[in-house]
Amino acid sequence: MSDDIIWILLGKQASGEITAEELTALDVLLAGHPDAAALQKLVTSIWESPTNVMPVDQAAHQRIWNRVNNQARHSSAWRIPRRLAAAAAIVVVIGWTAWKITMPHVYSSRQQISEAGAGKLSLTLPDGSKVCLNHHSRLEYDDQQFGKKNREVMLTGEAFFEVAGHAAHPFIIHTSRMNITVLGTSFNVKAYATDSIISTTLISGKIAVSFPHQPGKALELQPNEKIIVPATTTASINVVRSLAQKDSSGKATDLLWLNNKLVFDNESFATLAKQMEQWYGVSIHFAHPSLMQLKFSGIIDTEPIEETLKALQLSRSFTFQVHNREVWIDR
Amino acid sequence: MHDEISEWQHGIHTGDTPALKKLYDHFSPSLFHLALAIIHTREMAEEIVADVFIQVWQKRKHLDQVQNLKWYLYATTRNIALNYLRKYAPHKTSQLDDTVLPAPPAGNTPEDLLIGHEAMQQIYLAINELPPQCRLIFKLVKEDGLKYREVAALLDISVKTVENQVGIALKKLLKIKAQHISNPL
Repeated sequence: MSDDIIWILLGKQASGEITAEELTALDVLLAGHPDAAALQKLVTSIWESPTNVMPVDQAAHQRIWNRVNNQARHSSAWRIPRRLAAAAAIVVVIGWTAWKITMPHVYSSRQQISEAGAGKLSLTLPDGSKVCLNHHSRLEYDDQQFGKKNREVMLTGEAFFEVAGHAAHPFIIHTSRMNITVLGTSFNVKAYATDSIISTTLISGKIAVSFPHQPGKALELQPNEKIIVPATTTASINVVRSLAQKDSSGKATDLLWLNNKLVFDNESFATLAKQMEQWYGVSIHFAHPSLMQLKFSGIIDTEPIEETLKALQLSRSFTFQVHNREVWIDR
Repeated sequence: MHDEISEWQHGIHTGDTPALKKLYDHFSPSLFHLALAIIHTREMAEEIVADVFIQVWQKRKHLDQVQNLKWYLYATTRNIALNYLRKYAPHKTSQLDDTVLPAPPAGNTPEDLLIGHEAMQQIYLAINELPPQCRLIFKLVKEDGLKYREVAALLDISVKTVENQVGIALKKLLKIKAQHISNPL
């Protein structure tokens, strides 16, 4: 049995289950073992050998997937995307005019528009790139050209991009104040028309940022860097470049919305109100300008707006009334 | 890897079927193996694995609350397999089956080139020669990367048993591996 302990401990060491105490015990056992070094080497090589070669029975693999896929398609929630498609078709007509005014020179043929209403929307573009659109955000691209002649999209609002590698065409995202050229990567872009700043947070890979109002100026972002550009139309652009903020679990706070969380850190009520307007799809009115200066920190999960406002009341004193989609803040 | 799983988890939560496919491609072979070890028949094991992913899809709205998706998949497979066992094979015991792993594929993967097909065959056959329960435990720990306590919970055995079985597997495998190395090609 005493001989077996060494095997048990070697197994625990290889699988990372070993405790500090057991490690000491193992060292003692190995010290008394004639060829300890060879033994440990062998365990490592066994553990690292790719023995997980159990071949996948491709026919069975496909057969099982077909069953899963059939069920997934017929489950009731699939009706929602169809409804969204209908809504998008309507938006195409309205969006067309707006597009012609704002970006007259870029595209001429068919626009493909995806719009997330009060919820979020995940979509896969023809090139395989994935986009998750946040509330009240909108993505447009040219169906005829995208993936064939270019990979350019126009974004209003906030989105998380996971861009598929594609040697022939760079992936370019246009926002009102910043153009982002992607070299295969994932990142977050925030460019709501109502926000005072536009920001990009890079999670992995490499992106280049340029500015339509300042040709010739370009920046490259490294992973976990964030760039913030004021959205106001003043001629000069003050670019703030910083490390992306992370929460205690090491996730970038700019990505918390992906998990249905609205995050604010020492932000004014005015800024927070804009975020809450997007978040809840409401209008927030302040009875006194001084109220807009109140500062708050916190995370909003999926609570109803009344609950959120009550939580905010705990840290600063104000009153509120909610009528349908209108919120009134008073002293 | 962990990040990829969270990405798929989030994708499925938001209704993205390609994410479900990726999760399926990644986990179904291991889950199939677990189901087969419990239920004995391939047809039923296939149904069980399908049920696991159908369930993931149906419960996707709440998928963001799952802390450890990998563990969730293994535990769900175990639960569904045991249900099948009760329903369709009440006369059979839930003893782990002696299903034999299929033969390893022809030696043309990068791994084969790296360590030599014959060496891999040796390890592979050695694993296949382990007693069924020992083999399953060793596979779950080493290849599927489950924690000892997870394997214990999954198979309804003690952590001590997992420790012992991994030790026994290593001891047996090393004997074969040592022989192989002392007699190089």
